[in-house]
Amino acid sequence: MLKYILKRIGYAILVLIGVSLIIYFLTRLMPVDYVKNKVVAMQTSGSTVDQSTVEAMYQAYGLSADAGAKEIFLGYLSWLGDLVRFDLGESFIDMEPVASKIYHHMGTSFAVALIATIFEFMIAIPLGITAATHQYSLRDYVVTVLVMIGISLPSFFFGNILKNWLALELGWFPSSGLVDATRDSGFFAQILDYAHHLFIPVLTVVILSIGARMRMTRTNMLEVMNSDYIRTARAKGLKEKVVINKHAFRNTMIPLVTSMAGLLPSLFSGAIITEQVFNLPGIGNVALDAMTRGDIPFIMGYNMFLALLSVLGILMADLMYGIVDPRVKLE
Amino acid sequence: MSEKKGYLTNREIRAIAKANAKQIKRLEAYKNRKAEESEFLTQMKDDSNILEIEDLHTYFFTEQGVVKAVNGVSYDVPKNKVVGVVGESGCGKSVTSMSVMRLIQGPAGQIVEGAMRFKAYDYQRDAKGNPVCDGDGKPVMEEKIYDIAKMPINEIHRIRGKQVAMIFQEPMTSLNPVFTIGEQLDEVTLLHVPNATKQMAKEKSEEMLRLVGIIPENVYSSFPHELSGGMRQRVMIAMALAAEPRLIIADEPTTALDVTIQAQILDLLQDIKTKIDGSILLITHDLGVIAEMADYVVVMYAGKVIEKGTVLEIFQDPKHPYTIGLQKSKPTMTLDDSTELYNIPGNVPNPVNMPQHCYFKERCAKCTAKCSGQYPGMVQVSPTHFVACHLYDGEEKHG
Repeated sequence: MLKYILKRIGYAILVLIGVSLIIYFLTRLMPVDYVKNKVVAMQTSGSTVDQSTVEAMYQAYGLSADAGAKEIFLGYLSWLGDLVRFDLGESFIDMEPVASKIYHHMGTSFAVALIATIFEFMIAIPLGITAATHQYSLRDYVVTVLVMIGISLPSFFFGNILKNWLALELGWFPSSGLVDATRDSGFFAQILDYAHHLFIPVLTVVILSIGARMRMTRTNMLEVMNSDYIRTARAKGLKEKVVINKHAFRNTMIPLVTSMAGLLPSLFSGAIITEQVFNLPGIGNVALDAMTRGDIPFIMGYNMFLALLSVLGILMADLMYGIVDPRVKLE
Repeated sequence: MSEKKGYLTNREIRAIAKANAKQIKRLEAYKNRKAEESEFLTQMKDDSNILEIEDLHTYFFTEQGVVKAVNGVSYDVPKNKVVGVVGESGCGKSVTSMSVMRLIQGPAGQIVEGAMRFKAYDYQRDAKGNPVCDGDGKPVMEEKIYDIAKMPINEIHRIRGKQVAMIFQEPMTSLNPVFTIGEQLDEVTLLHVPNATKQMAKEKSEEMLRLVGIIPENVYSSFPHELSGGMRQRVMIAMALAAEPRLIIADEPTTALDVTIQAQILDLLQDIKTKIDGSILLITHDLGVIAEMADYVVVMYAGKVIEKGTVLEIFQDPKHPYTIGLQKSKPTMTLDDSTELYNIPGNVPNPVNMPQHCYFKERCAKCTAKCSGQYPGMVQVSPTHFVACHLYDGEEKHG
């Protein structure tokens, strides 16, 4: 088992190097030039920038006006060299070290994603199971239709509808932001304030993500319910409740549990659009900003962080398989 | 489109769906109703039987129409006997046995009419349906005749698994992959023996494993995938036996196994029948298995019983042309390679639109003018031998 994990980690490092190479090249090839943007901004604000200053700026940021493959590759090597020394560099925008910038903005996104994921599983799994065990009944159709509506709605649309209704019309919840500056700042008061602000974003994410998970549960459950061992369980004389909750559920859980491990990166990646709609200071918002302004160190740091989590998630999914499914042996 | 055979117009599909929905609704309501015990208690016609199936109809309401998988089947299983049901794939033999267990998958599959009288040994119950206890707090047992077809589905646990147990034809997939053999076996005892403890269940399971020729220490905590097909089928048999049922339904227990294992499993079933003093309903398409195991044979074709009798009558004096054809199409060990194996020409008619006349007419070599008329009734040719064929009309012989 230990040998298996070590082997997998070895492969993971190779994968990550490949991923970083691709991301670095793609980022450098993006039609966004941080220095050029900055120069244009300076010029519009009235200051004159001469050519030598521009070149000095390119030099300072480690970029060049029109970089060839060789320069990009050298840039990559220097980025990799820093990474080996555990240095992700500094964000161009605010000179904050990338690692600390990710760390500071992750909290909000993680809170939203974690709470939403918990609710998603808690709601989607029972719905999927009832839909499957009452296949082709009214219950199945109602659940399926509602869920399909959820899948089909884009988050910027549905998020805004909820915001308009719950925040603007009813006024029950704040429409954007994370904290209310006018509130007292006791610990519990602060938590409540966060909860108050995060309610609509979490609701949006939950409703939109239930669909896929519910469909997955339903499909799995249907497949399990039609299998021979469920017939055996019934033939033993077990009550239908036991057949579903014990014999079928344990088998349905196998793909669900393993898919849970695959969720790891999405817990940290931030919901870019939802964060935009509700103006949350989450990492998705920051990443989008970095992307549009060509903040190469941050884009690299953020994407590599997600790549690392993805690789870990896949490894965890495989390890989970070994735990929940006795037929799988990891070697 | 409607003129093309086998295709349905949208209008026809809608009409079928509407008719199906109506039937299914009625039958599901009947299945899920709450009922007093007296509603499904009945009397046996012949007291030496343990199971009497009478005029059973089990239909599947499909999008193409109603498939009458079991269409008026009647046969009896006498006490301590092995009854073999034989017929080709899709003739309804498995559906009949699943009907007895009430394992037909709704909403499409439904028992439409008929009676399945089963002599159970169950708790005596008071007016409220609770078991009656004697002075020592032990429940009082009595023989009761249940009509399984009339039982509401939530009462079926009275007999399912406990009085009637079933062995399925797919040992490779019939055990739950995520539980150990021990857990799955213990479950039966814990379910059916009142106040059973874990320790009791384990002892019982080990006893059952030994009975089917498995050393429990090796297998009790294994998972199903660690066992071979033959071993898994033994486990299935052990599981069926653990509650000491009165009737075991073995649905093609040896089909998925190789020949040497088949023989072992059959010996085992033979052995067990004497040990538990019960009856076996053996469903198979293998005449060799029937010859070896059965006391009585029921031959089914396209959802109907076409001939039934003792094993000697069916093998030495088959009456129905289909039974005769079946016997002829059995491979034999002769030195002459030149004779090709006989096969019955033609196919089973489309199950959705069954003709009015004998279903075997188109394939029958002895077909007469009479065969285009009504479906032949059962003719009794000896006290135990019945055949549904016009060739024997008027040859009635009663005991």
